[in-house]
Amino acid sequence: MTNVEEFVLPNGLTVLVEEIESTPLVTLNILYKVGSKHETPEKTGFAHLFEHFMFEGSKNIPHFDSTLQVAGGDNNAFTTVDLTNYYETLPAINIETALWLESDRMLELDFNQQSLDTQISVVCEEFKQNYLNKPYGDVWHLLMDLCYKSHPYRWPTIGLKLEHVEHITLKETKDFFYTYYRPNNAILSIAGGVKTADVIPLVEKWFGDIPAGPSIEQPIKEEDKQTHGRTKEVTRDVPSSVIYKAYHCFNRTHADYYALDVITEILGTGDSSRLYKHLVDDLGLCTEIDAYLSGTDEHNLLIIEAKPEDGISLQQIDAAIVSVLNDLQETLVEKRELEKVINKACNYLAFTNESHQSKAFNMAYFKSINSMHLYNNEQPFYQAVTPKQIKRIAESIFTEANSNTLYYNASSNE
Amino acid sequence: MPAQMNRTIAPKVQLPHSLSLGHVHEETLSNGLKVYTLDGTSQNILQLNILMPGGRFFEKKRMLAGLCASTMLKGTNSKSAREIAETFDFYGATIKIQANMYSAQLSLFCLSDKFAELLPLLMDVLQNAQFPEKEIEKIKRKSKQKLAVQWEKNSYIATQYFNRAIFGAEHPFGYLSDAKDIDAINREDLLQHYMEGLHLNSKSIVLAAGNIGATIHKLISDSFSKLSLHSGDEHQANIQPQEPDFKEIASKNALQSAIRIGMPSINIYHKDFENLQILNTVLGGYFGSRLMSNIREEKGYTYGIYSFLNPIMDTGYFCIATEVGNQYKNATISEIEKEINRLKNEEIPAAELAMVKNYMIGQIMKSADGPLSMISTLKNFVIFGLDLDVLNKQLENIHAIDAKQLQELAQQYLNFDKMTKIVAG
Repeated sequence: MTNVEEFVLPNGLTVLVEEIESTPLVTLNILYKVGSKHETPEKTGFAHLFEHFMFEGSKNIPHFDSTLQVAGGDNNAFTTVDLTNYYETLPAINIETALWLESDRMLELDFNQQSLDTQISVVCEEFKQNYLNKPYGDVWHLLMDLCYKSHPYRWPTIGLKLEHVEHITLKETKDFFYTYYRPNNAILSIAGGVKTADVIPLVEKWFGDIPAGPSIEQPIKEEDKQTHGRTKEVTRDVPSSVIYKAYHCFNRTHADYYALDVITEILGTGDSSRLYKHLVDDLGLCTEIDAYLSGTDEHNLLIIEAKPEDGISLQQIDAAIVSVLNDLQETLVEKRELEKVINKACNYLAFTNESHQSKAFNMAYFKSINSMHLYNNEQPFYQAVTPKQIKRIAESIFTEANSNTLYYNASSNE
Repeated sequence: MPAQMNRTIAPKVQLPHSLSLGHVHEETLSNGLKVYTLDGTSQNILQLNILMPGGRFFEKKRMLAGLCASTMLKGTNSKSAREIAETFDFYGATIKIQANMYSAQLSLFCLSDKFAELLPLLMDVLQNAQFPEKEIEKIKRKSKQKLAVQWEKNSYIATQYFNRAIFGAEHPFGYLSDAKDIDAINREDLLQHYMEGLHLNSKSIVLAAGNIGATIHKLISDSFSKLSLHSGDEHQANIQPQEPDFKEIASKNALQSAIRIGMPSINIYHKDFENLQILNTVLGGYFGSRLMSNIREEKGYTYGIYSFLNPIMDTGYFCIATEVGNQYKNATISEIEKEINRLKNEEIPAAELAMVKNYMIGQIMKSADGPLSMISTLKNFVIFGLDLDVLNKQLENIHAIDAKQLQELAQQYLNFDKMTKIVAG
């Protein structure tokens, strides 16, 4: 069991601390509850660009990275559809440097046009490197646009197009900061070789005087229930075709979430999974097949992707996938198969929990979805999954009306 | 809350002069096999790594090492590919085998209380892999499909041509990957490579980290000491000096260009190696490096630029790698030249050097943070016959080195005119 100290500063900042004696290091993690789902369709890519801007210097500290490096630390950050997360790992004895840095950039950034221009350019190169100049780079844009019609998950975090990022102004950057980057919209978590009693006064010292921001009551556009199957077909200059099938599921906090994760594992992780055994081994239809969850806070997607063997059409694979899914609706999963998947989950959880860096993020993440009871405690939820529950969920999800299929054809195969 | 808090004053920092490394248990089994164990994870987990000299260097045919590693789990004389996958998956374990330049590596991740159940199958794979024809064909098709995708990426194209320029077109590290070479491999080739390299031999090393305890320790010693080992051959991976090359390769993905610039360099045994690592860190070895600050943070030409030293047994090379917008291609190359020359012509300012030193000390602490980090670090040392004491030596070097020494190293080891330059885009 874990021993997480949790408290809230008067300005609304949520703070979580876990002592881990075995490490001389510490990770400080700050999660801001803003992701690309908070953007408008006309200005996408904003949350991610802003993440870059956060490293361009703050009110009292011109160079974020070098200041942290002097303390022996390193850092990184990422933006998802739901959140933006920053973390520093450094010798525990230097924790105050990380608190100083993070508090100063929460207090006020150095809003500077030249820095913004440079980061716009860097992000445009990132856009080109990972989405435009790379085989299959546009898959995520196509698939999300197919799956979501009104929910802002329909554009990826990098943004809908380069032009959106190129036109971001300094004024918009400021507004964004004073709306979303306030203590009341953030979760600070610390895990590592520190004493909670030493850390609390330091957190109060550095973060206590940062003014709270407006409370954010911005409803995210809901996604209507899908009522008929959708298909999209594109042709691209790539070496081989790929098929993607995505099914709408439910929120991360839904009571059936762990059963959904189990279903995903049964279907498509590893060479003993059902899709692999059936489509790769038995039928020889594809070279690779995989199933995974999109992992979002809301409206998760269960996604299956497969690459065909030579001479096999995507339609043949599609039909074979559907028959594997139907089987889950018709027959109860055997005890041994369920046990296998639960063992895999336990293995994954144990390795994750060995790292204080993962722990620091996981704490903040579970807090952000109001589910601290899951932190370091997911195993029982996997163990509680039953074959009947799996069948019931499979029946409700794997329907033609709930399916989104992307045929990504290689032009050379035409 | 203190009223007079001054946010412009940095909190004091401290960094260690030595590391207390966790205990590494080192043992040579009766058959000569070396086993390292690191006990003491908080979770009930085990990571096992087996290093074997079965990388590309030992190939009798091109592409053989990679294909052999991918096919090794696809059947033994008593178990089918499916049974093997089913068993590892049932116990929740992950197993991978990959071939690197010199070594090949098997990695197993599992819950420690499942290890006893998995061990017989692991030993079976290590001794009795069969390489069934049907599985070989499947893996060949998958490998060719993956290779075709790789050749669509500028970064891959640039790395391939860079390696060819450094090692020579006929060297096992230098040839261009070709689907035709995959086609030419047959079952006999795979069995031979397996017997000579991927089968445990006297050059193999076993490393385990996790919640191990006496029981698992004994399981490992007992099972591995029963194996009769092949004698490993002595090899030297010399680089024959190649003429520096400049090549532009046109690809169809024309938005960005991948750039690789570098030259042969010293290896881990050389007295200057650790110090050259420090110089490399300043230039391009971390996020705050000069190349990154200049070419990404100031100019915005790229999403990232890095430099690294890659030691491979008795040889090694230095390389700078980036992908830049096409319009910035020439400007980037000339900025790289400027940054290299600046290291040769000027001493690194004290504040910058102090920062790099502290950063590197933090990284060394990370690489020794708990049994899992330590095994990953140790793995990279033991193939060179070194151990974790290297970390303390690195720490000493970092504390001792000064700007003048680094400038001399730059003059001795970095020569832009002699570097190979590859641009794909």
